[in-house]
Amino acid sequence: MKRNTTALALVTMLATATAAAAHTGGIQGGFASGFFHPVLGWDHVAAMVAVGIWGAFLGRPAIFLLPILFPIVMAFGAALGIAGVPISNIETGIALSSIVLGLLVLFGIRTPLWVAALVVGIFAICHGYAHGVELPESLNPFAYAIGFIVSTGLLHLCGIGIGFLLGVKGGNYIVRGVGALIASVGAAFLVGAM
Amino acid sequence: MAILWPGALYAHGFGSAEGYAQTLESMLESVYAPVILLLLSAFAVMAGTSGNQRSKHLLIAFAVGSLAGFPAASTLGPLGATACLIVGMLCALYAAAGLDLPRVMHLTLGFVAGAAVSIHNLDGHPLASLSFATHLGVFLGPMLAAAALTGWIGMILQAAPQPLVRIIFRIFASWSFAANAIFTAVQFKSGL
Repeated sequence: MKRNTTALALVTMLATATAAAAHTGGIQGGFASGFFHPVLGWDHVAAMVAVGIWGAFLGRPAIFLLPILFPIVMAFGAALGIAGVPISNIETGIALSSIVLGLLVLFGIRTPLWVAALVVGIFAICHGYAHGVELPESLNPFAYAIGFIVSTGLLHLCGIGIGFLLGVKGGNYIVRGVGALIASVGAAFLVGAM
Repeated sequence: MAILWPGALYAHGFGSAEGYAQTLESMLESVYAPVILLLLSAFAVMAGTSGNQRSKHLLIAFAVGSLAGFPAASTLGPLGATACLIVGMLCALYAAAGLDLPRVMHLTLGFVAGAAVSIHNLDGHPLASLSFATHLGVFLGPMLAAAALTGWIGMILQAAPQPLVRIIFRIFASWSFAANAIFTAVQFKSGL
């Protein structure tokens, strides 16, 4: 009985042990850190995927123009963050991006291309600014930048992939459901931000 | 023959690198910098998606610009990195937007790209201060990389002419623009 208890305690400790994370200077603040910055932030994931889904909803040419436009404008936002330009309520802007884009998908709203570009552009600045603020502190800012740019692009592609479900029977409901989920995530973050 | 006439290894023989070895070393060194890689990738997408005829002219413009950058390096050396980043942004933006610019503007961009690469690689060295082999490597390295990437992209577009493939390259170009823009901001923040 005592041997079993000891074994159970040992297994529990081993199963819940965290990594020592020694000598991780090469990864911390580098490409992996930049790559996972959008991925591990649900506010970023929700908005990036929503951009892809909404682009798929709008069809050509928005389906590829939005993922082309977003990194370009995001870089401008990142530059503002790097330069230390004070912009208040960025977290609110990021939360709103999920809400607005999620609702656009939920209600299947189709806007002219320039309106879509404007909406996406404004939110891209918010997301870029958030990434840019953390960039100068990272160990390898260049690798960090490449990481979050690639990650953002891949999240867009995920969204476009989800958007392709529109061509499947019942896919319309699935996609709009994802839009509702994204808007909910955004609302949760907005409450948290406020 | 390969077994009977193997070349010497020259491991850690940096002091004895001459002629061919020096050229090879400077070729590799001249494409190694992140700013050069970003510029070359953006230039290659711009050139590779422009069609066969124009891509050839762009590569020629790049080569001419690269040579023109040699004498300019002594005075413009400190601006090399920034020039590469800005020109990289322009090439990437042009490729991402899918615009059809006038030929003169297109070729000017190719010329400036080549010049920026040479200026950055030579890093302020006057024209006669380095060996011919080093200069040859500084010219050949980026030139071959640009030509290879451009040719590879052109080949892919010929083999798969679907619009989706071109769109993928335009998305990649937008990523390249973002990277160039962020690097530029970091450079200015660092005061370089």
